[in-house]
Amino acid sequence: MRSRGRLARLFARLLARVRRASAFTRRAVATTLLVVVYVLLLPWFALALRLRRQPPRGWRVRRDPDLTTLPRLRAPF
Amino acid sequence: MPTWVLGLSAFYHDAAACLLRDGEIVLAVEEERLSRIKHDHGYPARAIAACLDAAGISPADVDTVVFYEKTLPKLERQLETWLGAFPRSLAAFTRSMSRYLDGRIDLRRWLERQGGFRGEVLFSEHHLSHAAFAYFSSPFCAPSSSGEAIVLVADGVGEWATTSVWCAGPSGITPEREIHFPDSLGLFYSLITAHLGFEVNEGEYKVMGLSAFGEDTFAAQMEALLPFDDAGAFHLDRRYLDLAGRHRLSSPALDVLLGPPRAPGAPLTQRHRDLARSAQNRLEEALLRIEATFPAGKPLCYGGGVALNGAANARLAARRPLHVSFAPGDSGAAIGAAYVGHHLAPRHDSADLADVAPRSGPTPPPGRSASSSARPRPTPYLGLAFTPAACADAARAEDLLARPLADLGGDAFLAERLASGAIVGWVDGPMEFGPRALGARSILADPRRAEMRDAINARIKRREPFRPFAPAILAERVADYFDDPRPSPWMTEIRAVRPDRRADLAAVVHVDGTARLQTVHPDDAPRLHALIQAFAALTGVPALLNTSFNVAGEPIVCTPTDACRCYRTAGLDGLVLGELWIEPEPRP
Repeated sequence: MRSRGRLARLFARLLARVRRASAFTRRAVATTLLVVVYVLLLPWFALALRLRRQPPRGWRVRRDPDLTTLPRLRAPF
Repeated sequence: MPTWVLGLSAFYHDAAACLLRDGEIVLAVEEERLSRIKHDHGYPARAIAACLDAAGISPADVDTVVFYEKTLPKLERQLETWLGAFPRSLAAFTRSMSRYLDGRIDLRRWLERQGGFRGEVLFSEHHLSHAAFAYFSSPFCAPSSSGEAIVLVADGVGEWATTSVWCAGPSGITPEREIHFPDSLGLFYSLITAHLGFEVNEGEYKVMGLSAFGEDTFAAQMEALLPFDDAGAFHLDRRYLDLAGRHRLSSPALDVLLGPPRAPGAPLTQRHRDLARSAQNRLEEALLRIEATFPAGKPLCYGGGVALNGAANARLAARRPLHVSFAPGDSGAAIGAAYVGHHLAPRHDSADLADVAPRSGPTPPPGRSASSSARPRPTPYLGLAFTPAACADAARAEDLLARPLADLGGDAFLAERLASGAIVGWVDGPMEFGPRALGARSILADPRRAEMRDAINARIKRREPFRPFAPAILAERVADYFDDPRPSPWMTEIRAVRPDRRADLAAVVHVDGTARLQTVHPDDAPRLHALIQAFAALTGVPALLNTSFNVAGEPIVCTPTDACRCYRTAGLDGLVLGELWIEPEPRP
């Protein structure tokens, strides 16, 4: 529990430091993190994608009477 | 208290904003016209500010902001594209994802922080925005008609849908069927555009123009690239795509199929022209196959970037009543998003759509009364207008001698100048919305002189010599020049010019005998109509060459200052700035 708190404080300090850094440094940190995510995480998703059955091509019938309801329009998905 | 709805399109290309007051457009403007960055894709801060200024309200007064697409499904589609191209998609992944890190992924918060909006934030779907603009701007939703129409949307891609069919009527717009990415007519045409060495999302017009010079010798290759099925659908063969890799859009297999790609700026050969012809034929065939699946007799509203292809539009229009709006691309989706917020969203709280849906389009521009427009459809003249004082100040600041046009003889003077070969810039009233200059920010010239095309392409616009220009022709005289005399007020169709009249329009008739006509009605563009009448009285030809007031690589001019600068850069022979006339002579 204590180590988790220490980790959170360390992360917050790092984040504050990056936020204060120059635009160039911020961009470099963001790019590095994205490369790490790409190299470590994406291969698994890419593998899953390739194993997944290909969706059918051509016309897809769509019945969606709720498309323009307010709850649906409020959602960004 | 009026209800304010702001529609936005942003973060892909052609960002724009549109403000509705109780369902009527107050102002709609594309960000590129104000930022002077062509196809500006950023947050449309200037366009929003212009809309709010025109209404005299603050961001806090806006009741609803409607974004033109769903942000998360779009991100999902991008991620899946990068995953599919792993590990070659590293560069595309880091480049695109870093854009999301600026906070736009949480658009509601972004709009609150960047824009100060405190009202409701809604997210339309990309194709729903296109469909809403196509339908609510059409004459088919007018009270005088049945109100029922089919809506077809075709573009590169929205969230996932690339082609969609909708049913529209008094009860709203509902989706019927769709085709998903990467099977896309827009993407197909962009592949060919890139292969021919033109810029994607910019050079598609060039491919269409080039196609008139070619023969359909690549039909078999196009069939392999874009095969059809029995249900009227199409597929884009994945072997030729590389959406996230090092090659732009296409894989090396496409080079094997179609031959080596043309380098940008390299000379155009007959092979390139034939490729353009075959691609254009395949696109038209795909659209006609889709159209053949629609119930007979129902009118069609058509939107999305593919609807900018005027040659294909003409073939659809020959089959059934067709409406294409003046901005079927992504900028027009800002108007569509606003319409979704006004016409569709409140429907579920209301007994009848007719109670909340004014059908007569936007507020007429200043100087034109609502009663003067008998036709229930919006006009594209939705942008900024400038006072005579602002025009005079701009001319003075640019050190140009401006004289009142009325003192020189008005339209008769201008007609005489045009007939003697002058190429004239023209700024009149509120700016057009959409990619076409329709008589508010135009360059005008004599259409009878064949040499005008080369002069304007080379000297003024500095663009490829094969690109055609459009005629603006009096609506009441169109039957004299075109076999198909239906109105085409927004240059959305390319039609054949009558063979016996082609000599009269030598500068605007394309090599295949067609032209992208604008029929000018006095309700829409009264000053341009009057000028063409004066030109007809002098020459017997009721038309003018009309092209956008800009030079290559720049957006169409917006302000009087933009117009003065472009007039100088382009070396025009004269400039009409509202009520003023400017000639190329230094002020003493």
